[in-house]
This record gives sequence, C-alpha cells and structure tokens, in this order.
Amino acid sequence: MAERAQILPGTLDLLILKAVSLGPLYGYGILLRIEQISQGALLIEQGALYPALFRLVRQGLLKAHWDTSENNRRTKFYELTSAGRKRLREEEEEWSRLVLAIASALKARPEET
Amino acid sequence: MKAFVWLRSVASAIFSRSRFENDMDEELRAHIQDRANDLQRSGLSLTEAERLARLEFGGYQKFKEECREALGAHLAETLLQDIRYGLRMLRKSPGFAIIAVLTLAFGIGANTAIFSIVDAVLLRPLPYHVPERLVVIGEVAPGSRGISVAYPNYLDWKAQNKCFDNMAAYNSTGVILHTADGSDRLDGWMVSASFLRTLGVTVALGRDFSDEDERTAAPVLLLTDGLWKRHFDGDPAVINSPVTLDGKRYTVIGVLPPSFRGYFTYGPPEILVPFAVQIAADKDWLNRTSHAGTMAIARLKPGVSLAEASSEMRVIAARLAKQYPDTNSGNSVSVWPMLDEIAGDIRPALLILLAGVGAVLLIACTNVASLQLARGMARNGEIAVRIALGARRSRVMRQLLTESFLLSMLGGTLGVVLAIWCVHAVVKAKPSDLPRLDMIAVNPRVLAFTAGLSLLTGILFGLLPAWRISSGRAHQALQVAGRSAGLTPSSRRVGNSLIVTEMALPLLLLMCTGLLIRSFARLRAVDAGFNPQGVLTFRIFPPEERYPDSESRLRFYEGAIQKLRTLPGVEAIGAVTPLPFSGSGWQNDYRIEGQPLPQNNEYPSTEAHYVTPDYFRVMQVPLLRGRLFSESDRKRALPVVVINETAAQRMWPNQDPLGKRIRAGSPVDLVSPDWEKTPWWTVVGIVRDVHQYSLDRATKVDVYFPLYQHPVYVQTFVVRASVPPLALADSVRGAIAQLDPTAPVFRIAAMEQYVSASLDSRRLVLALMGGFGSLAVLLAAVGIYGVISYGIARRTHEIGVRMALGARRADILRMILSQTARLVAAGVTLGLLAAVFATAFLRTQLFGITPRDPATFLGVAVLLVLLALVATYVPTRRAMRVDPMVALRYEQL
Repeated sequence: MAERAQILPGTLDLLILKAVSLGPLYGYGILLRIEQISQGALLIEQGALYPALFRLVRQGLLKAHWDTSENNRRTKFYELTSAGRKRLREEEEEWSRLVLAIASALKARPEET
Repeated sequence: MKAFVWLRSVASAIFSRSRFENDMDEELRAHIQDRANDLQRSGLSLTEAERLARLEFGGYQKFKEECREALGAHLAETLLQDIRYGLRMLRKSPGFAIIAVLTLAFGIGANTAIFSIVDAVLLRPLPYHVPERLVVIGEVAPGSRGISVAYPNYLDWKAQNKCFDNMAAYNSTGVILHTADGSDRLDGWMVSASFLRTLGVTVALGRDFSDEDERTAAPVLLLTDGLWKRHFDGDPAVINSPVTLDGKRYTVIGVLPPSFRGYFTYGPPEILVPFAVQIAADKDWLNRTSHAGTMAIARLKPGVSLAEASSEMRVIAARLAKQYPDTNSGNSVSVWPMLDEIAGDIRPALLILLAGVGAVLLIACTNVASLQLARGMARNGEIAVRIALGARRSRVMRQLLTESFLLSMLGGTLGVVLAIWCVHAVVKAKPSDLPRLDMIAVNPRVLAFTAGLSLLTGILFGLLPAWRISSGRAHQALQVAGRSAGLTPSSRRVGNSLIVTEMALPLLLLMCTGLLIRSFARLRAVDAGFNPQGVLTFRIFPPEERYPDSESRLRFYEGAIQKLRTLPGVEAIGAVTPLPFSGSGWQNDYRIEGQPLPQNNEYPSTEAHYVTPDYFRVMQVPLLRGRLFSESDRKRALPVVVINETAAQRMWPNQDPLGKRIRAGSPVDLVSPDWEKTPWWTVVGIVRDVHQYSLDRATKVDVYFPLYQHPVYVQTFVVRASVPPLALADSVRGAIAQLDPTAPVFRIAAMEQYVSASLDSRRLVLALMGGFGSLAVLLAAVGIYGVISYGIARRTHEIGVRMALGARRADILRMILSQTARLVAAGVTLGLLAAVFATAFLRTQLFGITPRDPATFLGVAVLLVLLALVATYVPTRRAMRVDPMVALRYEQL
C-alpha cells in the first residue's frame, strides 16, 4: 500500500466541497470520491466526515436530502449550494496560493558563506 | 440569516429530537455497512469485514456527539443532561436539597402571598372603564381635612367644568325593601343619573337611569346582581315590575352586572336609587350648607391631568364662594384619584410588608448561596477532575447554575402551595380595613410573578457560588480537595460577607417587627375612655312612611327603649348618633358666647354626638364635673350640652365651663336670628375624653347633645348586658317585632368587635411581620451555623497544628469566637445603620414610640448577637474535641 498522508486540519471541508462539486453524493460515496481523486494518498478518519458534513449543512454550504444509493440503501445525499460553490472557488484559490508560497519557501537554499 | 438557520436547526433539534437521532444513526450505519460490503468483496470474511469497518470508522458515539454539536442540538441536549445530572446530585444529598428547597419555598411563598394581596389591592385597576381617569371630588372647609359635597355645589361643578367627561354624585342610604316575607334592610346608594355613565359600567339587564328620570324624579331603581339573585331568584321578568321601598312604590328598571362593586367611600351597595327622588322628598338636600355625606366622582377628559382638573375646580369653587358668601365662603375643592380612595390607608402597610418579605427572600438567597458554596467546596474534587479532563469554565458554571435553577423552581412550586394556604388564611381572617378582599387570590398574574421571582432567586443565589466554585484552577483545586487545607483567603472573604449579611438583614427586619409589636402593645393599652366589654350594639330602622317626622320617630325610639329595658339581661339601654368606632362622625361649627366672630366664617368645629340620658351609663363614660342628661332635658326645657375634657380645655382654658354657652351649626346658623332652631346651649357637665374613631387618633372637641332635645335619626342602640351581649340578639329582635314588625333590626354586634376591628390592619401587619421576622431569625440561625461550622471543619487541620504546638482549647475557642465577633459586630453595625434610615418609613404604622426607639434597637441587637454566639460556639466546641493527632493526620489523606 502506498504511503498515505494525514490530512491537514481544516482541509477536510475543502476536500468534501470538492468531492461534492462533481455531483450529489452520500457520505460513504464522498469518502470513496476523495480517495479516488487523491489517488488514495490521503488518510481520512472515516467518522470525522459526518460532523464536517453536518457543519457544512449548518453553514449553508451544502444541502442534504434523503434518497436511495446505488447499493439500494436509503441514505442522505449532499450537494453544493451556490454559497458552497463560491466558497469552494475561494478556498481553491487560497490553497493554490498557499501551496505555491510553501513550495517556493522550501526550494530556497541556505546561502553558503 | 445565519442566526435564523441556526435557530431553525436548534428548534428542529429540540422538537424532533428522536427523529433527528434516528436519521443520524441510519446515515452512520449505512456508511459502515457500505464499507463492510466493500471490504467483504475484497476477500474478507463477513465478521472480519464488519469489525474492520467499525474500526476504520472510529469512535461512533464521539462522532455522533460532534454531529449534534455541529448542528446546534448541543445546547438543548446538554440542558437536559444538566437537569438529569442536577437531579441526581440533589438526590444524592437529600439533606441539602430539603433544607435549600424549604428555605426557598418560605421565601418565595411569603413573597407570592404578599404580592397577591398587593396585586388585588394596589395594582389591579378597578372594575370600571379606564379607572385611572376616575377621580373623587370633595369639598374642603377652612381648617378641616375635607367635607362632603353640598348637592347644589355639585350641580354647579357639573355645569361649569370643562375638564371632565362626566360627573356624578352619590351618597349612602339605608332603605327597607318590603316583600311578602317581611322587610329587609338594605345598604343602598342614592346616585345621580350620570353615575354608571361616569364609571363606564353598563347594566346587565334592562336600562340605566336616564336624565329624564332625574328631571321628573321618577321612582325607579337598579338592583345589584347579588340582590337580584337573592330576592328575585334571578328572574329577568323583574324588569319593569313594581317593588315597595321605604313604603314607596318604585319600578325596577335594570340589574347591574355581577362584576359591579362600589369600592369607594361607602360600603358596597345592594341597590341604587335616584338622588332626585330623595331630593324631591327632602328639600334640605338643596341647601348649600348641607354637607351630609354626598360625594362626587368624575371622569377626566383624555389629556387632562389631575393637577389641571384640580386647579379648574378650585377656580369654580372660588367663584361659587363669591356668589354665595354666606354658605360657600372659604370653601374649596379637593380632587383625588379613585384608586387612592380604595387603597390610600392600607398602602403604607402593604409596602412595608412587601419590603419585609423582600428581606426574607434575600436572607433565604444568602442561606442557599452559603449552603451551595459549602457543598461546592466539598465537591471541589469532582469539579477539579472535570476541569482537568477539559471541561470549560462556562460549561461547569452552566451545570452549577442549572442545579440552582432546579432548586429555585422546586422552591417556587412549593412556595405557591404555601402562598395559597397563606392567602386563604388572610382572606378568612377578614381584616376589616383591607379593601377588595374578594379579589385577593393566587391568580395567573401572581403565578407569573412567582415564576419570575424564582428565576431571579436562582440567579441571585446561584451565580456567586457557581462563579467561585468553577474558578479554581485544576491543579489547585485537586490539591485542596486532596488535602483538606485551610480556607483560601478569598473563600474566607466570601464566607465572612455572608455572615455579615446574615446578621444585618434579620436585624433590620426584627427592628421593624419590634417597633410594630411595641406600638401595638401601647395601642392595646390605650384606654378607649369607655368600657366596650359587655355592650351590645344594633340598629333599628323606623320606616319613613310610618314615622314621617322627628316627633313620631322620637316616640318610636322611646317606646323601643322602654320595651327593651325590661328584657332580662339588660342593665341599661341608650341610643347614640354616631356610634364610636363605627367610622362615621358628625361635625358642627361652633361659637362661644361673648367671644368675637372669626373672619371669613373660619369657625372652629366640634364632633357632635346625640345621646339619650342613659348612654353614658351604658358605655361607662365617667362624669368629671356637673351633671349628665336627665329624662327632663327635652323640648322647651333649657337647651343643655355635655362636653369632654378636650372641649373644656379648648373652649375655656383656665375657666370653669359649667354654665357657659355655645351655639352650634353651620356658619349661617351661628349668626341666624332663629333662636328656636339654633339656640344657645348651656354646658352642664364635663365627661372624660372618649376615643371616637380609633385608639391611635387624638381625641377631638366632643359635644354631646340630648337626643330628646335635639332629635336626629338614631344611628345605634347600645345595651349594657349582664349576660354575654350577643346572647341578647334574639330577644331584642323579638321585642322590636312585637313593637312594630315593619321596623327591621340589623347590624347586631358587640361593641368590642368595633374596637377590635379598628386594630385589624395593624394586627394583620403585625402578624405577617412577626412571621417574617421569626422566619428571618430561623433562616439566619441556620445560615450562620452553616457558614461557621463549615469554616471550622475546613480549619480542623490548622486547629490540630495549633494544639500540637501547645495551644490550649480555651485559646483556640477565644481565637475563633473573637474572629466571629468581629463579623457579628460588623453585621450589627450595618443592620443598625440601615435600620436608622429604614424605620423612618414605618412612621405611619407606629404609635407612641419613635422610629428609633432605643429599647427596641438594643433588644433586637442583643438577641441577634446571642444567636450568632450560640451558632458559633456549638460547632467550635465540636471542633475542640478533635484529637490533635487525628486532625494532623488529615494532611496525609
């Protein structure tokens, strides 16, 4: 199994928004989608997904409805609201800036005297 | 928007909690199932797959809790949790719970009871339309407090004013209703046609008096609901039917609604009759000097203030005084709110009681706070563990406050039960000068007050302990909890301030109670000037149609006296108008022969009493000089009067009054040439001063006129009985029925009841304040004992060290007592200072002592100091008995 990275605090929300942006998903589906789009590189504590989902619903970034999953199980589906879509864009940009900044900081070499 | 979303989720979380929980469970389980299925597909066994799925998911309950929190379900959820936890804690320490709940129940119950009285008497508006705008109007004569209104003056006021929407006149009158079963004497009010219109009351049945009725003096009347049901079986056909009243035929035109009460000036009426009919029968009503009990009410126009109305009325009165100088000169007008009329006298007493119960509640709060604190310190270990495990301070405080609210709500509930019982007792005692007794009840308004009070109480006694207990930093708290060390300086400060409060508040309350008790004792000791014991009083009403003039009435009175005198058990019988302590009084202006006339008709006035010769003997009023009246003091004999000591001193200081002469009557009479009607009265005797109104009012200038010489309506017959007075009631009734069956005998009462009733409101205030004072002392004793024994228990270690180092028991006892003594002294000083200011508000309720009565202050202070010393000494002695070794060993625990 490839080595997996523990996700950074606060990034779970971003990953969820990203996963859901591709279409309505239920909880386990979101988990699979994240594994899929991160090529299995990110390690998520599975239960932690749900408090995050509830929080995003409360913030009005996601909306939920009950439906039947492809496993023929009744469960809750989540999808982005327009506020969620906007937030996702902002967070993506923010994240890219941060990654660039960290990367360039790490590339710097100590000057030799 | 966010707030709304949040609120909605909280609301739905509270109201659909179980559905929410089920949904959450279903969603989370679906996840684990899906995962297990996937794992099974990758080759694991079913059980292995399920195990792994659960493992990967992580702490199921923890995430559920986080979900709840994320949705805002948190608050409601933890509140329920806190309540459950609080109830468990209270069950675990039932002693504490019972004492705290009882303490609060007493405090809240007493407040609820008093509030329900205050609500009915002072706060609730009168049962009339917009009662705040109703006023009562009376005339003011020079040098007197206020007099009733002469009817013609009322008519002028009504015609000339611009500030009232309506004005009406009313007066009380006794009437006799003749029915098939006999005659019934009723309390009636004679009213102008505008009366109900002014009050804003509409009749329930039939019609109101009309101006046309008034103009033609039509004999029509209105029944109250009570009379209608009692006498006419609530039959609507009574409208337009004839009834016989005072031998005259009247027509019933309407029935008043059940809610109607006459709450002002006179006792509640049973029947309303038109003033116009009375005026048509007796033209003396149209005399401007006739101030015979008529009062006016009026409704202020919207936007007109009481002050504006008063000043306009004074202008009108001044104009009338100029227009009718003989009758109106010097007279002015007084206007006051109708609400004052009802509660004016009792208001200070009720406010004092309200302050008294407030103090009791404060003491109760202090007590429960100190109990909480003591228990909180004992719970330090538990709290410390919770804080160490990461509970935030706000969370711990919320838990502690929830427990306080639980206590205060339990206390409040029990308090309502106590209040209902207490209100019932007060209403049953029927204190005569507490108005609107029938309205006093623990109603929804009162319950709302209690609920609010309980909440406030919970905050008051819960906040300080919660703040203090939750403030301990974890390690410190753990340390203290483990080591039973001495008190920290700040916790000692809190304990000290509680002791000071527990001293000062009861001290203040007891001062007030003490002053009231001493006043009451002094008042009880006041000699009324006559002997009310063994005296029966009753009234007889000679029907007007059979006894139309004063001569025939006099014959009836004499006949009745002759007849009653022969009854067994009757030692002496007399008649008097007005009866002492009945609340009514007749005033006359007077002038003394040979003295100059005053300016502006400002004559001095006397209290006039019309009595039969034996009156003094019945009441046992001692003669000081001269003679009493005899049977021969009649018409055509020399007009004579007997005066009291005060009159003798006031009228002829340093002279012998016997043989001197006065004229009495209205200012016009005093200068009239009609010697027949207004003769010179010769003073023939001086009797002792008699209290005519109440024991606490100074005696006035009393002049007694012989009834046979100056016939007036007899108000009351008085009988000195050799048997218990009320035992004579039946034989009196029988004898009068033989004499004339149409003359009803009513209001039969022992004279002592009148005297006793005059002390009713004081007795009520005293009983309640005494109750509050005792409660305060009890609570304070428990509180001081609790704080001190707790403090000493915490110092067991210190005491052990001191004793191990060689301190004797006496030294330690002295140390602790002296420390407490300082607090007690501080509390007493504070209480005394407060009392010096607060007792001034008692002034109206005091009699014969000053608000700073030194004996009361000293007595109460000594009592409380003794109480505090006992409350200190007992727990200290117990601490002394501890073996030093045991005390020291506490440290290793």
